[in-house]
Amino acid sequence: MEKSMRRARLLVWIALVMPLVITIFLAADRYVRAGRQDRASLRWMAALDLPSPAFWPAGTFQRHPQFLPPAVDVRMSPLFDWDRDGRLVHPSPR
Amino acid sequence: MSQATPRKVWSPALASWAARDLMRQPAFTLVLFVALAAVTALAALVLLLQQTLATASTRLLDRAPHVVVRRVGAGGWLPLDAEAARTRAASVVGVLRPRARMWGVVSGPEGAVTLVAVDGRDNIDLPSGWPLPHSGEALVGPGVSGDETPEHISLNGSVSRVLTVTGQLPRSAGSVVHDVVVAHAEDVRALLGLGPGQASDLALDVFHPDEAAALLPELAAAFDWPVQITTRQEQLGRHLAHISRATGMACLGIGPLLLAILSVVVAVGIWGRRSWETGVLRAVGWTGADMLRLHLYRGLLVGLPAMSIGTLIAHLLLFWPGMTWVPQLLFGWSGPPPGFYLSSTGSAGAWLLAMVLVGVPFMAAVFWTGWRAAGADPGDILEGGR
Repeated sequence: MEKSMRRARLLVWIALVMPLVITIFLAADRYVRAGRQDRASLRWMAALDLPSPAFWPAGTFQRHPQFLPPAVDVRMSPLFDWDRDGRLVHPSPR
Repeated sequence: MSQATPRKVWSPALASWAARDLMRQPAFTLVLFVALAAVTALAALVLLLQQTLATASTRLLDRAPHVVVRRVGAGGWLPLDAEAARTRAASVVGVLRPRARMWGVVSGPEGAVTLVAVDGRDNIDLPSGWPLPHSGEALVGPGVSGDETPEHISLNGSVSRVLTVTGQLPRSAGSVVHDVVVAHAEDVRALLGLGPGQASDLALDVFHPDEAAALLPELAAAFDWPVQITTRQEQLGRHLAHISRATGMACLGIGPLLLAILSVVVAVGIWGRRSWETGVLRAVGWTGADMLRLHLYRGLLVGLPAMSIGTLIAHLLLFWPGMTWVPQLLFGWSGPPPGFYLSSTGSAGAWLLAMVLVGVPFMAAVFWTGWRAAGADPGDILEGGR
């Protein structure tokens, strides 16, 4: 009985202290790393005058939206209505 | 006449009793703990993902040129005459540091790479004193040729060239240089098919980013050829739109997972319900308030650590140095993805919101169960449980 109560008290202590420890850890980690973690990326971005970050692979339009030729009609978009034969159901953007 | 002593909100003895109660059902407690931690982690990830990537994009593009001018024709993007473009841009009042850039996409050993020339611009210094590559040399990003730095790299564009690799760009800058090859202007010009004196585009700065939009008409009129002018804000807008689309799809995928875990929580709650115990405790003298507090303590003893562990998991998943699962899952990398070193600036609000989103419904459910136990008649419960 006594042993079980001791374990129960330990469980209460852990349940109350653990969130505090984690909150302090997260706050400290945020304080220490928030402005430093991406410092190398920022330096190289500026030094190379890069057109965009490397979130997407090179050659994709998300990485280089400027690659899309301006002559391409923006209405050719899946967001507009096309029928099965490729004809525009609504001829103008809505 | 006895005076009622005020009941304390926190009772260590009752909390220990609640902990013992939980220990009597370890499987129930563990499943509830894991499910709550998972729901909190997923909710925090959903809230943090878009915001963190948008913050990263904004911080990185803050280091990009204020305005980029490209020469365009009916077929699209055309090279421009570097010196003429620089002179014309410099003639516009308010334009600072016009510089011709040479860059493009060519085929590398493991797919497309972004090729950048470094000595085509004035006064360039690479970070940490990295030497500028000479003709025939290149600096390669960590994802250009797999794990090991090769001695040579073969690039295919308008022509094929084999360049000697003199260094690998740092992994800690992976979110900008992962698949970038930095080479001498002469090699870049040949690979991109640029003529002598030609450049890919013209980058320039202005005194204040807000001035950029006001300068556009004058800037466009300064060139003899049709140009497409993109401000940093427009570029950022495009990136944020792509990020929103990618993260939105991911969050839609997380939705069913959240529902599944919530179902587990509900099922565990039904499985762990022991109303006859409530009847016994009430019959031996526990008051309704004691029953309510017992339920609340049980909820808190599981909920508080589970939600904080869930938040910690989400934080580590997203902000671990060199994290690769986001680019792998969201941005379509078929080869080795870049390691992201994301800034956790502005993440505190998302942590709190995730804990509130999970914690409030959970504690409301716990309170409701406790309320019902507090108001129930012990005789009825014991009769019903027989």
